[in-house]
Amino acid sequence: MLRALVGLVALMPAVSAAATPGEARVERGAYLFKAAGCGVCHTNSDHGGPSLGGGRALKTDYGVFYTPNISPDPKFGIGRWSDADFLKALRKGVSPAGTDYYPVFPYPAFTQLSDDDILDLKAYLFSQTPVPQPNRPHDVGFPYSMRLALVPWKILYFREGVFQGDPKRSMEWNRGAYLANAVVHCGECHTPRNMLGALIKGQRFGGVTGGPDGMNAPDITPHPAALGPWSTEDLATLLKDGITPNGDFVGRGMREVVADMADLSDTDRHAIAVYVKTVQPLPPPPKPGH
Amino acid sequence: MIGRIGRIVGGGCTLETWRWKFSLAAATAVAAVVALMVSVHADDIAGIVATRQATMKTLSADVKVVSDFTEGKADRAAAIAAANHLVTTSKTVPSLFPPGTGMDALPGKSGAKAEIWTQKREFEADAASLLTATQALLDTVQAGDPATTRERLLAAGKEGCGNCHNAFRVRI
Repeated sequence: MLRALVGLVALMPAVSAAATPGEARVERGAYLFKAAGCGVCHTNSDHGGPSLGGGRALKTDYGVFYTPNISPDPKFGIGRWSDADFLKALRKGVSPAGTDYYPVFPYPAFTQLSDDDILDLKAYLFSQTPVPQPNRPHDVGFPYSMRLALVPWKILYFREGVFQGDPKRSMEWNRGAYLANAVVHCGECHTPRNMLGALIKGQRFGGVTGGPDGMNAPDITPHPAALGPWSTEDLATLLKDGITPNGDFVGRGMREVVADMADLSDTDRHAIAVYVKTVQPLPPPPKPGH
Repeated sequence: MIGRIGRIVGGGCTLETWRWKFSLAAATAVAAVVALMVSVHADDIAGIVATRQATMKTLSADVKVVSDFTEGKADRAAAIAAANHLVTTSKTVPSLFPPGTGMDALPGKSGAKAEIWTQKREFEADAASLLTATQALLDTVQAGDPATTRERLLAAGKEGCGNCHNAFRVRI
C-alpha cells in the first residue's frame, strides 16, 4: 500500500502528449526543478551569474557556503555523473568521490524523493547549457571545516529513505506532504535548527529568526498566532502570487520561492496548502529585541 | 580674598557654599531639561514609527481591497477608492522617514535600516517607483479588467513594496 502511495504522490503532472519518453522525463524534471527551487541557490543571480553555474554565497552561522556548479559541464559541473552518482548525491548526501555533503545542501529533504523524480531532475539538468565555471571553496571555520565531522552528524541526524505516506490521509494530503517535505523543502528555512545545524523535528515549520543571510522565516504552522486564521485558499494564493490575506507581500527570500512556485499547478499548490494546514501548531518564535 | 568676601557677603553662608549650591541647582536643572528633552525626543521617535507602521498597514488594507476586486470579492468602486488612496499614501512615504527614526533609534520596534538615510537617493528612487506603480494600478482598476489589475497589483507589490523592503527593511 505504502509503495503504491509513494508512486502516486511522486507522479508529476501530465506532460505533453507528443513528448518522447526522454522529452517527457526532461519536462517532468523541469517541473521538479522549479518546485525544488534548485535554480535559486545554484545560480548567482545577484551578480549576474549563469544559470546553474553556482557560486551563490549562503551566509550561515557556520561560515559562508558557495553553491556548486550543477550544469552539465563535464569538467566543472556534473556532466560526468552517472545516474547512480546523482541518486547517491540526493539520496545519501554523498558526492561521486565519496565525500559527505554539508547539509546546507538539503539532502535530508531530497532523500525522500522517488528514484524516478531524482532521475527526471537529472535529465532536465543534463538538457541545460554547460557552464565552464569552477566551484568556489566554502569559507567555513574550524571545526566545521572538518568534513569528517559530518560522519557523526549524519549518524545523529540524517535518516536516508524515500517519503513514506500516510494511508489514513487523503491522496491530496500525501501529495502535499511529499511536495512540502521532499521537494520544496519548506522546513529548511521555516524549521528551527539545533546548535549543530540539524532541523529540530518537534518544531517543524515553527519559524526561524536570523536564518541564512540573516533572514527571518515566519512560523507557517496553523497556530492562531501564525497561519491559523488563514484558509487553505489563502495559503495557495500566497504560493502563487506572494500576497497575504492582509494585503502584504512576501519578503526577499520567499519572493524567490514564489517566483518558482507560481509555475506549479493549482492542484499542487493546493495540496501543499492542505498539508501545511495540518502540521502541529506551534507558537511563533519571540521577535528579536523583545 | 574671595573667601573673605564670601564670609562678608554671605554672613552665615560663604560665597563658596553659594557657588556650590548654585552649581548644583543649575546642573540639576540642566539634567532635568536634558532628560525631558531626551524623553520627549524618544516619544517623538516612537510616535513617528507608530505613524509610519500604521500608514504601511493602510497600504496593505488598500492592496487587499484591490486584490479582492481581482478575485470577484469586492466591487470596482471600492477598488477605485482603494487604488486612489494607495496613490495618495504613496506620495507621503518619503516624509514618513525623518532622519534618526530607524531601527538603531528604536530597536525591536522599527525595522527601518540605516541605509534609508545613507543611500537616500536609492531610497527615494524606490519610493518614486511605488508611486509610479500605484498610479499605473489606479489606471488599470479604472479600466476595470480584473485579470490585468491582478497583474498590475502583483507588479506593484514587487516593484513598489518589495524592492524597497528588500533593500531598506528588516523584518521585526
